[in-house]
Amino acid sequence: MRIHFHNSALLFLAILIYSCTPKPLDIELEAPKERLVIASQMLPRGGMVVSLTKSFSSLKKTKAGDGNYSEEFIRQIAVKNAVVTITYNNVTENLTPNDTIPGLYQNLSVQHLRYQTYVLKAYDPQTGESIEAHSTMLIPIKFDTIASYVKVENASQNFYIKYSIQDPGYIKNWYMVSYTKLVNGQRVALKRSRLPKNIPLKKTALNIQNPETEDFEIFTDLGATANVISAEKRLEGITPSDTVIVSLTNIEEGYYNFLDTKRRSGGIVTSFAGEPVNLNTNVVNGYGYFTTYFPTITLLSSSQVLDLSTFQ
Amino acid sequence: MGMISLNPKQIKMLPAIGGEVDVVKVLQLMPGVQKGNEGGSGMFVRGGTSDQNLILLDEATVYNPGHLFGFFSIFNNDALKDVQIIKGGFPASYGGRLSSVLDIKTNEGNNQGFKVDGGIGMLSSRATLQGPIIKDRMSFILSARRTYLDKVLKVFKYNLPYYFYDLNAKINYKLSDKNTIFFSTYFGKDVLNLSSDTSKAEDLFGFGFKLGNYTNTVRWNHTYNKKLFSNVSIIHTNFSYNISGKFTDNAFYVKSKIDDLGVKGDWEYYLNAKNQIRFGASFIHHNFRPNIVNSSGELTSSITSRDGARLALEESGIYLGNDQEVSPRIKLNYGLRFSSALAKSKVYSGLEPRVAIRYTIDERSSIKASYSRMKQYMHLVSSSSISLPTDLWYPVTESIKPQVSDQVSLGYFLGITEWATNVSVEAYYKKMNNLIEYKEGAKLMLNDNFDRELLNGKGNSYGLEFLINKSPQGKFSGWASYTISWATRQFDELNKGEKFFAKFDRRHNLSLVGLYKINDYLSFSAVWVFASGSRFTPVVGQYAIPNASLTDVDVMPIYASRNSVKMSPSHRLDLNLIVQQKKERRFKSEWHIGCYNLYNQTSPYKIEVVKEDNGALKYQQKGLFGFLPSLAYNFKF
Repeated sequence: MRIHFHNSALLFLAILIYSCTPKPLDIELEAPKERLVIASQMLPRGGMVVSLTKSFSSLKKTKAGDGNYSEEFIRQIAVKNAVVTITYNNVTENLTPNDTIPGLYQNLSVQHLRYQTYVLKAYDPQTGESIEAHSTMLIPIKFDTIASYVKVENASQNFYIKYSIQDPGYIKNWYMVSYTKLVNGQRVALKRSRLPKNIPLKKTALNIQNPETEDFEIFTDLGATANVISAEKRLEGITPSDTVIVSLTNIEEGYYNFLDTKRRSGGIVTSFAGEPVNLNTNVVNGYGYFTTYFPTITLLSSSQVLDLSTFQ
Repeated sequence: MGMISLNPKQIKMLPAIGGEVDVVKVLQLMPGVQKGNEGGSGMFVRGGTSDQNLILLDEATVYNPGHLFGFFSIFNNDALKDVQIIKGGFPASYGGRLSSVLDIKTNEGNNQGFKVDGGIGMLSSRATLQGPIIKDRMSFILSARRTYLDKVLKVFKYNLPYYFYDLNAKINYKLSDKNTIFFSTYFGKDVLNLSSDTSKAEDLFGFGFKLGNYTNTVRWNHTYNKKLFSNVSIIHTNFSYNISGKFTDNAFYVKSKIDDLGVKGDWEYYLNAKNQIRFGASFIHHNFRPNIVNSSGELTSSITSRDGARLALEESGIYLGNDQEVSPRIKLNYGLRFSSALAKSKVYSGLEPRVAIRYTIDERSSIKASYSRMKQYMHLVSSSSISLPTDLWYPVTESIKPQVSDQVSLGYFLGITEWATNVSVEAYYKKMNNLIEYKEGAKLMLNDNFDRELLNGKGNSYGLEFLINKSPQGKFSGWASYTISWATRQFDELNKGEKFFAKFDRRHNLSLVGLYKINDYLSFSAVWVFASGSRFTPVVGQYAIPNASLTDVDVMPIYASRNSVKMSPSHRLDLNLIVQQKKERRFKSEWHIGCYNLYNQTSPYKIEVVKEDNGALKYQQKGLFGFLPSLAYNFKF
């Protein structure tokens, strides 16, 4: 009898809950115009590489069944046969398509000139879309000191790094420090959990689609004391035998704001309560960010520090 | 003009979500008052925001008028005597908010005999006790209610440890023929206390919050002579929340509060038969303590312990106004309010002129016009997408200026006495300056430095409101209201500086409300509402860019222009049948059998990308509440 009552009550509650959720309504939305998307990288021994892709509808499937971006998707968004030029120091040079990677354009003879403004232009004859973006190459800054160590906390070994930067001081600077490690010869970004690592997510009642985020830091020279910026940081997902690659980059203010907004828009709270955020861009008539920064790189393990800076 | 009064007895007869009678939801059926999201008790008056409503409960400001994330208002209908909302043509005695004044007065206790009212609903039960303390001179009233879904589910071994309760109490004491003292208090809390039901230390999990309002008003009513009256009040208001969480070795506790102490005096002087002068002054000390944080364990790296900011605002106002009968056909109400606010070392002040004129055409009809300037020195820090218990009020600062509005309105009013019906048409235009929005990607939670996150902009709204109201004489009563309106915003830093529609810019709003008394035992009421869809900023596109370390690809969203997408309109039918027992008995009771959203229509509140059965993606609008039956039992003796 008690079981019958219990089941009846459950059935009543189920009907009540079901009745609380009306059928969603479909809606048609106009797709935004396809625009060119820019990403760039300066190569250590001279030259530059630019990636040119297209924006796409929210209704486009991006990932294959294995959770990775599908080859078809990458092929669809890559912009082939575009006209890409870079202008600096009163010289204009073409970037040519990479033979193996669609959407990648390169020129290995582009010179790296400090405080020079580079103007990137691209034109896609297929769609008629064109973009223009400007970026100024800043001087690279090296870590003044950097060290790693392992600390035992709550019976677990945690990997820390401690560093200091000598800020030039005479101009305002914005910095990015990013962390990667080598896995099977490939650089892999370190991730940090959006919540402390021992919190069981299933019990937080938070619907976090991506509980981890790329671990990087951005900061300005405002916190410098006598032109020295110091910091200490714990890195997650590191074992003492891992080799960690730490990159320090002197970035433009606009790119700092781009990264800052990107990071803010991915937090736990903003994922369900935040305001809509369109990332800022320096690409006229397009998306993404055109950069000409140059990182200095340090390899770290728990037992040694190796300076691999290649650009002085 | 721009003023609507509600009768709590009439409200009680209307259908209500879950059987919970809610004065704010009834106000949303009035012209010019729009609902926010489905089921919410937020009000958006004449294109304003929800924090532009001054909500007064026995003169005390209520900062958070919602229980259960705003789905129910904090006002227990059994405790209410008068409910009045002013949308335009504001008297000079009111100030501090741009868009409306919701002035709620609670009942005074019966000074002749004891009475008990009560009700048992699906979500809560309530009881009101009133009676004399000293017959004819001193009486009290006490109203309380509590939800009990937590207790019901516990019987079935389900754990939903959420409940809210509130309590209204009032004592009035007639000291002499010329002096009466009133003491009124409100106390309410929402409580959630989730914890893991486990004996394993590593699985320990707990999360909870407590939030609530606490108001106290002491009012002294004094009659000097036949021409001069006064009301002097001391008012205390507090709103606080605390949130706590525990995850194995990690714990946090966040507390925020706003605490007001104020004094207010209003005088009325009947100069002669044609002039009634009103004057007064008010002073409020606002004390803000946002984000007092205590954390332990690994959480300390992301949530650092701190004492929180200590902010204060001294807000004051003086006013003088006159109700003047210029001629038998022309009546004027004019006044001037001077308001000021001191925040740290910054002083803001300004004049707020108010004027309203009524021209009587004939015995039945009149034309009214008004102009009001309003200033607002506080604002709610809240996401436009969701209302959270962590939403907090903050004062103006050196960089965040007071919001200002100028509103003009014009109306035609017709009384058809033989049908006990009033008809009105009102047009308004409101211009707002120094409105507040948040920067894109603003960090709203646990942030004390809002100056960096807020933007000042401007907006305007205009519309036309129609109301046909049949008074409760005879078997049928009810009203029909229709509003057509527009509300826009412009911020230099948002939407590329281009003008955009406000989130709750619903073009058409129609409400049909009917109450029909079938016989002495049976009554029936129905509400049908239609509202154009609210605005939304969906993700319409994407692009792929490398991550910061150039090791992977991130797909970033492209949002449509701010609030550019209008969601589908919503409409629903609510019904309520009231079965009363024989009225001759001392113990009177009635059953309310009703439903919300009879035909299960979706009222969209957001747009999402969802996967279809065939794997393709599409846009879909989600709604919250479908068909909800309700049953309530009310009694009194």
